Amino acid sequence: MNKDRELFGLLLIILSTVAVLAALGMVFLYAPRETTMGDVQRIFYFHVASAWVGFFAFFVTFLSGIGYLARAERRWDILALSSVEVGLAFITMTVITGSLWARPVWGTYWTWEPRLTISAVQLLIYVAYGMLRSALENPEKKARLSAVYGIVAFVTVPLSWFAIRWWRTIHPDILTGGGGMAFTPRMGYTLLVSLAAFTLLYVTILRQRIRLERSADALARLRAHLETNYIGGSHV
Amino acid sequence: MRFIRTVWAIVVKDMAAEFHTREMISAMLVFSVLALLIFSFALDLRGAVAQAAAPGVLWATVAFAGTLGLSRSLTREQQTGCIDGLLLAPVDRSAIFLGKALGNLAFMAVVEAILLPLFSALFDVPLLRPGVLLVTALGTVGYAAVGTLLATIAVNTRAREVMLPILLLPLAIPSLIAAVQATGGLVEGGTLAEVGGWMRLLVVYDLVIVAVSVLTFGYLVEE
Amino acid sequence: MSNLVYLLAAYAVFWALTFALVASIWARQRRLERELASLAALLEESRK
Repeated sequence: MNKDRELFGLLLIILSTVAVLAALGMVFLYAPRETTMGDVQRIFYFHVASAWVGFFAFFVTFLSGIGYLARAERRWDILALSSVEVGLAFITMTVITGSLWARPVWGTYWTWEPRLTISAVQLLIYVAYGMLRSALENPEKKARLSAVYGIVAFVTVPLSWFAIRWWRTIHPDILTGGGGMAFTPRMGYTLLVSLAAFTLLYVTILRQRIRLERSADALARLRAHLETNYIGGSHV
Repeated sequence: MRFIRTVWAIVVKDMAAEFHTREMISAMLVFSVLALLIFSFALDLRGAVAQAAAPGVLWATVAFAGTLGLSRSLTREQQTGCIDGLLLAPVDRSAIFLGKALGNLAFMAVVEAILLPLFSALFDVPLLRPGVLLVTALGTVGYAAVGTLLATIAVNTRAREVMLPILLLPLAIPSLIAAVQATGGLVEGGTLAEVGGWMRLLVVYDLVIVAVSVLTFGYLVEE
Repeated sequence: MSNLVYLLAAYAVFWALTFALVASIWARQRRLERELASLAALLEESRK
């Protein structure tokens, strides 16, 4: 069984590497040069792909939260915290790349553009979730309370999205206006491949993070076993 | 009916406890006025600028004062060991949540009852209309509900009160945006129909938040 | 075009963050496995 899991893991790593390289190739060689923004627009593909993973990872945390409340099994908590860690990296990517795209296109490092804004909000929620976990010591409480926070926090994200969208529609940035992009089919395919590649990448890294947490649990168990049975070197 | 009686009993208990010293409400009020002053100086709010900024300043103040009241109310609960007594009794956990949330809502409402006329006078904006009052009520309901749930979480952490704003504010964003936009629209002479989209968002937010809170609160207080 | 700097920077960020995440997990995994091995050895010793 372990052999199969290892093989599957290896396969995933290879697949995601290939997919990311393929996406990269498409972004720079296959996708056309955008008419209004030029080559800088190529940031778009990985920016949107990381935004997708950032959102999806939190969705996984939301589901694992429900799972933990329903079953109180450690594996749900492991999934929740692992997804948060991986998702945090991707949402950070989204915010930074979004900012780097805004600068040449709109002349400012920050714009309250809906996708960028909602990514910043999600980033803050991720950080809050992480801080909550750090501030709790009891592992059972940690799992249970962060599960509830993960659930209620995720539920507000779609609502924030709508609120921010409407807010920007009524009060568009005078500087950035609408921010249009001439979208062609080739761009669509590149985006799809990027999304798939990032999803694979997310799953691959997630599995490694889960494995790490399980090893940590095994270590803790071994330590406890040693302490209870072999205190002071003599068998109790 | 036992449910409603439990909820009511908790609300009454909380309000009686607060009425005795009134320290929390006075703290919230003083803080709100100070926040108002800071905003006015920092943003140089005068004339037309002040009028435009009024809804935002109002809700920012309410949000911050709210976090004060919420953490205070739950910390007090923990200190007196009251919640343990409540949990020993065979009461529905959601009744406890609703009781606490309604109590917090009441405290915020008392503070707002004083803030709204104050803001109306200071910023020269008509905040005491039924439309604005409705928006205020809807916004406060959602905030009090999610605030009560998160305060219950925060009180368990090492950081205690400090944790609450961090947990609460990102989640309050939809409600805050909607409340500010709706208030602004109404104050500029718009009708309720014109800000209907924002009102609907507020209602949806409130429903979703209350539902999730009622469903998950029990898991927070189980032993 | 100077705009390409931003394009390169963005992709550099992608690589840097991905690498940092993967490296961090890998390093922690290695440290844990080392500790597990040494504790397992300790267990073997105590059994003798």
